[in-house]
Amino acid sequence: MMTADRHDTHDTHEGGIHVKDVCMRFGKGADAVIALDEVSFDVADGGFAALIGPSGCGKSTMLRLIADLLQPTKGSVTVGGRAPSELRSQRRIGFVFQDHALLPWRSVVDNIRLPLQLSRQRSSDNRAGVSDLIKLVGLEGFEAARPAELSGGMRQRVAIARALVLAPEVLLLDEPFGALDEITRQRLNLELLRIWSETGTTAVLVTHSLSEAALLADEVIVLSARPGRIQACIKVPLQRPRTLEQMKTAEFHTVENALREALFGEALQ
Amino acid sequence: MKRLRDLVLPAVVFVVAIAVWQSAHSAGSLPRSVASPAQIYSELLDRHELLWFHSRPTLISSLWGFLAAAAAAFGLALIVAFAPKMGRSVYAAAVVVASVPLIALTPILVLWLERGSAVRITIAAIASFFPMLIGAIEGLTHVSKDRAELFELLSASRWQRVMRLQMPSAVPLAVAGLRAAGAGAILGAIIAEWSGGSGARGLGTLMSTALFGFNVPLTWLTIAVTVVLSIGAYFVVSLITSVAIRRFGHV
Ligand SMILES: Nc1ncnc2c1ncn2[C@@H]1O[C@H](COP(=O)(O)OP(=O)(O)OP(=O)(O)O)[C@@H](O)[C@H]1O
Ligand SMILES: [Mg+2]
Repeated sequence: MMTADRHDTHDTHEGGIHVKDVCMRFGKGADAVIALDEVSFDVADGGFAALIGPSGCGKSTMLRLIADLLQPTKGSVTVGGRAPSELRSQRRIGFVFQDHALLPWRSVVDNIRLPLQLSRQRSSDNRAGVSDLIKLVGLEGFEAARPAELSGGMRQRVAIARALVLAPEVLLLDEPFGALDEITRQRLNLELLRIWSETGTTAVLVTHSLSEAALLADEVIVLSARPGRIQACIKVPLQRPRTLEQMKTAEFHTVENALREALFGEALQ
Repeated sequence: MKRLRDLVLPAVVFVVAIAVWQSAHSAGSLPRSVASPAQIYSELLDRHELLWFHSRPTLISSLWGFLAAAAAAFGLALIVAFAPKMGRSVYAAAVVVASVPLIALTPILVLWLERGSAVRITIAAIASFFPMLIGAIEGLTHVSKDRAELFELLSASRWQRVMRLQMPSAVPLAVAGLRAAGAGAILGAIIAEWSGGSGARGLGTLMSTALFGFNVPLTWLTIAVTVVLSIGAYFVVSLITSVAIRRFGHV
């Protein structure tokens, strides 16, 4: 049970995310909700994992545990051999919130700069970085726009750029494209893959879309609800770089069907 | 075009109300203590100099009272932002202050501060304080959960959180509090004058003189002027704060 803890401090090549026997309970006594129960999984360094499962099964809770926004009732989470709290205090965690959480009074570029300001890095030292990021997420020409002037897809790109500006070790995305139409979603999926491979960060994506999970991830973790348990871990054997063409292949459908089965199997229990 | 329509409807309602009022008065179906719009208007033409003579100190005191209350309210709200545990005590104290009957407070203040502007400014400040404080505290403490989590994720200090998240988030509610408080400052000043807190000059003094002298048209004129000033205060505050709303009002 404690094997993940070996050589915690100097295990730098042992990167990635390790979740070991995590339980998360909210509240006490009769009102207690067990959001996660004995959840264990690993994401390789530089890997891409997707979390799927019915509403309320603890997907967002899992991301918050990795980000040290919550602490597990039991079990452990490590990132690159270190505790999430250590990573958070060094601002090495990027998080894309479900409703983007942009600051509406700031322009695109000032939203992206926020993490630099809060970590007291001079933004002039990083200006090249910010403008590169704006290019990376395809928002050139919108630097001065306010979030209210952007489309939903553009807002999520700003949120992704902001999450990346401090070059995080892990990028956590909570249904980042949930509110978008299918076409925009697919385009942003491919962009996210490009950004992820260019930055080399370890990514965990929460999604309700089976095809999104299959298109993006190396491995899809299927959770069941009440309490949240791991139902299945399904490897995605598709070649990288991924393309939309692959979505038409039999391999892709096999993965999607496996995911569907894992989800439905849980619903029938 | 839409703005025009927005203006036309209230104007029509206003004109119709005046017409109904005037004809009810002519038909003798209103009590003798109610003046007609025509009487109020001719009183305005006759007495506008006297009216201005009395309104000016009221307006000036209202303004100072409003500014003093705003400074106190925002100061307290900031203390609560930095020390959330103070929130309940500040709220409790503010509710007590807001529920003190101002009519009774005036004579007490007169004994303490002497008759004059200081009493009027104090009452105006107390009368406008509560909505400002509520607006500022609620604005500073109700930050969207995701944005609060973002600042937590980035290990922001309390100072950074207040300055970069809570203060900008607070603007719409704080401004709403300021708008609501404008009319309160004017009414507060008038209450102070009415209950004898500020000597011979003041709209409230004129109102009470007219009332107890059974001068029905002048009484109604002072009421009308009070209403106009209160509405005016709302619009002036709205106009001045619209800059902040344009900058921070999240759509
Ligand atoms: N702060 C909290 N306090 C109490 N209960 C909570 C809290 N956060 C989450 N929960 C509970 O934990 C369970 C899992 O919530 P979570 O938000 O992680 O689900 P989810 O899988 O992200 O759902 P969705 O797909 O709808 O976003 C739910 O039953 C929820 O009510
Ligand atoms: Mg969720």
